[in-house]
Amino acid sequence: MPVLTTGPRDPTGPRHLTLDNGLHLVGVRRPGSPLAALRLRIDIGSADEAPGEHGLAHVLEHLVVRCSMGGGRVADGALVEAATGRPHTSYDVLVRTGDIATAGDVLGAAFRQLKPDTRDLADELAAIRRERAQRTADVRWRVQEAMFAALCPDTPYAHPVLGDPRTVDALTDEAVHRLHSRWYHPSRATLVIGSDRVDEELAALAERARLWAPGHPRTETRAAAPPPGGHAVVSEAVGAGRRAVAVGFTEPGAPCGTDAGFALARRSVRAARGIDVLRLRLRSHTCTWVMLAATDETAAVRSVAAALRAVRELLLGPDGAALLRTEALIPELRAAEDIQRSVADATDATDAFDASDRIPASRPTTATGVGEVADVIARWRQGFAAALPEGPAT
Amino acid sequence: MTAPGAPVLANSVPGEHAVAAATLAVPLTGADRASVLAAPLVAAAWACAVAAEARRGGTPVRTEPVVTADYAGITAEAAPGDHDALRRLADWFAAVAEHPLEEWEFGTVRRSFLSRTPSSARWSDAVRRALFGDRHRYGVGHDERVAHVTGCGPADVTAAARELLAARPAGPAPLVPRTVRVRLPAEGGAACHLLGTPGVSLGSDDKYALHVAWALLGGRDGMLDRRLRGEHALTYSLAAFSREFADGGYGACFAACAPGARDEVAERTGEVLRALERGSFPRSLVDSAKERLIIANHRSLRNGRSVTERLCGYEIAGTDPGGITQYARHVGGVTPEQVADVARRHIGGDQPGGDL
Repeated sequence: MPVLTTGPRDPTGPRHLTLDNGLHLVGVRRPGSPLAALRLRIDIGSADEAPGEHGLAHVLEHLVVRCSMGGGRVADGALVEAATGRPHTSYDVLVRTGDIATAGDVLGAAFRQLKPDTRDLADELAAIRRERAQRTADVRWRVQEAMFAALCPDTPYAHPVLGDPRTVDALTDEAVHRLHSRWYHPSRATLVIGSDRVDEELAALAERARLWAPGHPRTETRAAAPPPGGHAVVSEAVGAGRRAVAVGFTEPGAPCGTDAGFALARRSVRAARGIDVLRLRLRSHTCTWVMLAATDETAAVRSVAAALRAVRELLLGPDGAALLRTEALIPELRAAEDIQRSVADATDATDAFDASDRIPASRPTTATGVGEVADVIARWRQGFAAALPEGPAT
Repeated sequence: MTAPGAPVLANSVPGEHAVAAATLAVPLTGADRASVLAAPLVAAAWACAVAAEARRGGTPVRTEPVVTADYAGITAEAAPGDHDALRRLADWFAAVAEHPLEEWEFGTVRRSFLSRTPSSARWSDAVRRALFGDRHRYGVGHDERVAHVTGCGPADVTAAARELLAARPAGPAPLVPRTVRVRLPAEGGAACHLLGTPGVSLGSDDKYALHVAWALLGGRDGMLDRRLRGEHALTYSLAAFSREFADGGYGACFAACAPGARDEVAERTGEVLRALERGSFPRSLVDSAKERLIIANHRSLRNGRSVTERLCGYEIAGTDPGGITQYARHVGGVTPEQVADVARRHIGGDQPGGDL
């Protein structure tokens, strides 16, 4: 029987169900929406790849859409979009509410035995080679990947999601089948739906999802080792005396501040200083980083620290509350009206670091204060400044 | 069509969105090229000045410049509890419209505008330039605009604002473009095949079928993706779309590829366009394209700002704004035969006008 585990803190928040096969289902209410968004997240990403497997989680993502999901088309309509990251692989689809059941069936096909024919495999590997060529031509991508390698040395988080081209090109259809059997199981997956009548839709989806992967062996896989807490600044020359720089830090446990605080701090900094602070949850750790152009790495770190200090002072100044409202809260509330965004947020909220304290992602409201946002920015400044060998920059 | 110089105002439906929005826009038709090029800077100045007016009135509203090929203006947004404040947008605008900034504010506004402008041109700029030439505003691209704004002074902004707000004759419609193949230099080991085609205006009856035709070509598992990526592994990145303006429109497709594969990509793309004209495509693909368009339309209408900005575009083009809510019905009624017909009449894949 499904187990209802609705978060106790917010009875109107997301609904949670866990099925006998281990699948975790989450429902997000979106009253009046003519559309429904579904996200299937498999807790397998490039961080689960052992040496000799680098890049294969991404190949599987391509093949699951092409072969298992038949191209990822829902009822001759919407298309599944897939993405592989370090901690997860996600399959997303946006449909009209009448197609929710069909969309669930298409996503559930991810758990069918995957046996690509030689032609399918060759075509997807060719597409991945083009994807690699396009990404590696981008200096920002190269610098960002170098930062992850420096932040998480000797861990499975160090290598790029695209992996090692020799490993990827040597992949066989038998190896695909073995890997898929090892990695794809409902017990390692979360299915989130956002829709108008979510209670009914969740119950109907649960009935169908109970049948996913019957008899599919449940196999244990390695838990990826967490990256050590640390700091890194890396760069690459881009000409004219400038360098593309990435500076980041990891911290154990929950990220700086609540989701609401993070979202508003990010928008405040971007609006006031044009710097985009990025964040990635790496299971038990969180990585926070920025990318910018500067004359050298030290100048980059110092300019980030100075910008964060300036934004914090602005927020705590006499116009801070108005700035927060117009430059951060309003665009954030607008973005939150998007149904796929709310489903993505609800999926991220299942990453509670303490499973017994699962809470829905906190939403910014008109009551979110400048103090909370300023605290997030102060902690970012501290984290980025520590990337300099001589200590915090001022 | 809205007379040049006459502002248009559109409000979101009260209570429909968490963030209420109102857009106020003035048409660009008939304006001289300098004013069209300076329009984003004028709109940025209006946004700053209107925000200051609102603050003086005790209400923090968010204002942003909005500039399309047909209009320049601002969108104001208000958080829950402040929605009623947007009723004063026209008053705030009237107070600042002709002289939106003081000399001492100019540097900040221009720096802010330039810092938010992409560092390089988008590929679609090259397509529009090739299709519409350097005389019509639809051909204005990133590089020309940035160069003009960089050389602007405060007096230029005031002059452009007055020109945009002045009554004047509407400008001529653009010459009907022909299909062009645009060559961009290969960068970082990657090249692209770029094609621009004629399109239709916002009020054209062919718009819906043309949308379906382009949706059929583009997207994952579209006709181009199947041929270029699925069958020949020539590309990873593809885009295909059409755009409609008040006085015209265009279509474009882009395929990133290896430099040595550009000619083959062009050849395969031509095959796909000819198949589209012949109607040689599965009906299921048409249904999928229609469904994706309808979903995208529903999604965009969930946001107050995108509704008001679109309403202004319709109003300025002289098209019934109520068409926004009828989009799903119109697209849902498009037949495969209509798709092939508009492809033959507008996309013209058989006879590119030559390389540019």
